[in-house]
Amino acid sequence: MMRLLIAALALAPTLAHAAGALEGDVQRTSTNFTAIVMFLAFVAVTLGITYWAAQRTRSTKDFYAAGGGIGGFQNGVAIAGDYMSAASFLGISALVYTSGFDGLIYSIGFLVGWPIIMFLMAERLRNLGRFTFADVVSYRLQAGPIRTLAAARW
Amino acid sequence: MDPLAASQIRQDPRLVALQKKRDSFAWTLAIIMLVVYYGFIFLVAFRPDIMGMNVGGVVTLGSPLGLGVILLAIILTGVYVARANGEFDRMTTEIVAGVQQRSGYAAGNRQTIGAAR
Repeated sequence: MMRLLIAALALAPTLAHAAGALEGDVQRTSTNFTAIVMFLAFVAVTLGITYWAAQRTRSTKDFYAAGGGIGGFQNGVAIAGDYMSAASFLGISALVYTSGFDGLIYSIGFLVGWPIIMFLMAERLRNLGRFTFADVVSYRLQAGPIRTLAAARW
Repeated sequence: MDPLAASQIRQDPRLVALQKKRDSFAWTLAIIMLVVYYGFIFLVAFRPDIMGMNVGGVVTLGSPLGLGVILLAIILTGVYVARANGEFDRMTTEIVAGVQQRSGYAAGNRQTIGAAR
């Protein structure tokens, strides 16, 4: 009963909006099978690579730094790709397309945050031999609650 | 590491100098970056006419300025990396070597120095 009530409460805003969202001329486009197949193939390949990589990962160092087996430049390129690809190719390009220069400002904003984090945090992380900010905070404080908070936050 | 060696390292004038130098350097770079970035954003917000000035062809001043901010971020990163990997790592190695000589403490490395801070 309690669960039903919570479900109803969770749905309530959606239902209230649904009335407004579907007003006016609504046209149904034909299903884009190319896009769906591309998406599924992409997800399958990503999962495959992840599985293959997970088989070779034995330690935290393996996971974050490829066991120390790759150089700084390689690792930098990997992090840059990780950090920039999603934003640049999906979000930023759409923002520039719709808003022009105003959209470009977003890409400058988050690129600027990066060196600041490095100036102020990188050395401390390295000195502690930790890889993520959550690692550092749980080293200083109680690990359990901090891990929970980090998982909920990210 | 044993507390004696830890306190020895902490009192080492070279470590204090390193910390001071490193912190002021990092904050200087961070502040340069923040000032340039917020200068750019405030220009966009309050003087869009300046950003919209034509600087040849269809290019307005905003685009080269934005590119300049990105390039500055890359250049500052290079400056930081060069000094951190050069001067600061050299100072760290010297301090560790000095402590090892004095106390015969063999297992000292950069990580234990960091943890002692």
